[in-house]
Amino acid sequence: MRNMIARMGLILLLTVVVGANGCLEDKVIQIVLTDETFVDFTEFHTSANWTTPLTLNYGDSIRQILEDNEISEEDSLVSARLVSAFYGTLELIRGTDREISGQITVQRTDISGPAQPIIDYSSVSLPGVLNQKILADLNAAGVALLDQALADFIDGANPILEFRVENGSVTPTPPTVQDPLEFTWRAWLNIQVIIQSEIEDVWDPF
Amino acid sequence: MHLRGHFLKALGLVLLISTLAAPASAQITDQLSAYTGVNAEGFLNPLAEAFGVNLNDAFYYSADIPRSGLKLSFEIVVMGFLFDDEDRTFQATTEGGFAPQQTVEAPTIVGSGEALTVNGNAMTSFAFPGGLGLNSFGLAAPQLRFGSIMGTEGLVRFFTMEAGDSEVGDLTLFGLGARHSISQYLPSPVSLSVGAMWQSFKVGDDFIDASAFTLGVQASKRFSLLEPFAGFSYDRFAMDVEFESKASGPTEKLAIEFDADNTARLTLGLALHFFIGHGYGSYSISGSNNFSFGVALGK
Repeated sequence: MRNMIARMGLILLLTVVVGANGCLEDKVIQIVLTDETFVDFTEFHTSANWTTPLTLNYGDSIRQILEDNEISEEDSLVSARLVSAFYGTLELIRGTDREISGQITVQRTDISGPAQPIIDYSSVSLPGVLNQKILADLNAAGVALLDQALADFIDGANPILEFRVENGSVTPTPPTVQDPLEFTWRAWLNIQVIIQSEIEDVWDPF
Repeated sequence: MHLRGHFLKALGLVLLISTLAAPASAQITDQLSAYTGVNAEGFLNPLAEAFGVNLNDAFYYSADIPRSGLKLSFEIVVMGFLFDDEDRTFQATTEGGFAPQQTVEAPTIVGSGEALTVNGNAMTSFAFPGGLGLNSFGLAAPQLRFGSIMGTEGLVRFFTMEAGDSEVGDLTLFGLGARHSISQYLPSPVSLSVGAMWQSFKVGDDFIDASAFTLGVQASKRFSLLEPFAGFSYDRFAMDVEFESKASGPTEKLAIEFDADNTARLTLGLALHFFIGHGYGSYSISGSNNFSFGVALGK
């Protein structure tokens, strides 16, 4: 009897331990990938009003974010949204002790549609934002366009964007042929991509 | 032979369990990349607590330590921690220049797998990553108990493995403990002992670096095959985590230090002695509640 109880006890304990094998569960989890993409503008102007266009293959940018995080396009992309945007000057070359005001617009070139304002900038001191990342005032129309582009990417499109700097004024003195304005600057887009992923064999034993 | 087969299967399971940290850990590093320090700490906190409570468990199942004689047993112990509802969310704050800044109840690492999204100015949005949706957290470990010299026994807890994922790295658990019989000096109706154990748990070079320490007294009384036991201990646990964050744009390496957590623990359990070893189960009451069970083969 004593031996039998002892054997039963051992078997029970081992069964509990071995039974834990059935506690491996597949879990579905939404992963948030946060990354940024940017566009660089090179400016050389002899007047206060200028337009600088720059094309960004948004599809390639998102693919790069996925690749950096070892995520394939076959994984379940749930959504992608713009979180914030920043800007700052990278290099001050000539006549840059000035402030500029204007806006940046964005337009899809892979499909038809109007340009939408996305970033407004007002009285930005060029030396004051050198090597800085200044949080941009975003415009809802432009953000909606970017978010739609991200949604289209998830649906298989390859969005191409054209950003246009549309400068309105330069103070205290506008640039001239004799006193041109030359600098480079960058706009960053902070993006989040949500992936739905299944993780196999997570131990959730009890 | 039949029992030996079960034992080998159980041992195989312990090794399997230790490999399971790899896929989950890889996801943890992904999820952490969306956060910087404060959010990352809140996100991981329930797991840190479970680690600490579990590591400091399964140290003993009896206070009866012979004054001398050979004592050697190979043990497999399983420590379990059940998460409460309050472990599933934490106060998280938006990051990455998102405006306006908002603080919401977001999933922790053990919370819902669904990401939580909040809306901001100009149709922007910010998403907090989902958790692993865990109900419990378990640790299994092999350990070797040996003695007795002057009523003292030692314990070594150890396993190491290569996770097979360069993002996570190797896992190593190493612990040393010792207990000393008090009842050999005192006339007592029950066996009494004191003991301490230190452990180190590392994942990767720097991903997780945790240490645990427990110091306590134990009492037990044997009735034939059964031996109820109890213990009271002072536990300490600290954990450092290093991870890569992209929350602020470019990748940056961040470190979180979970401050050393000191807790008192009361443990109640029952051991069963059989012809080739011992089995036991226990329940502990501290800041959180957890349990453990195990089997020891040997004297």
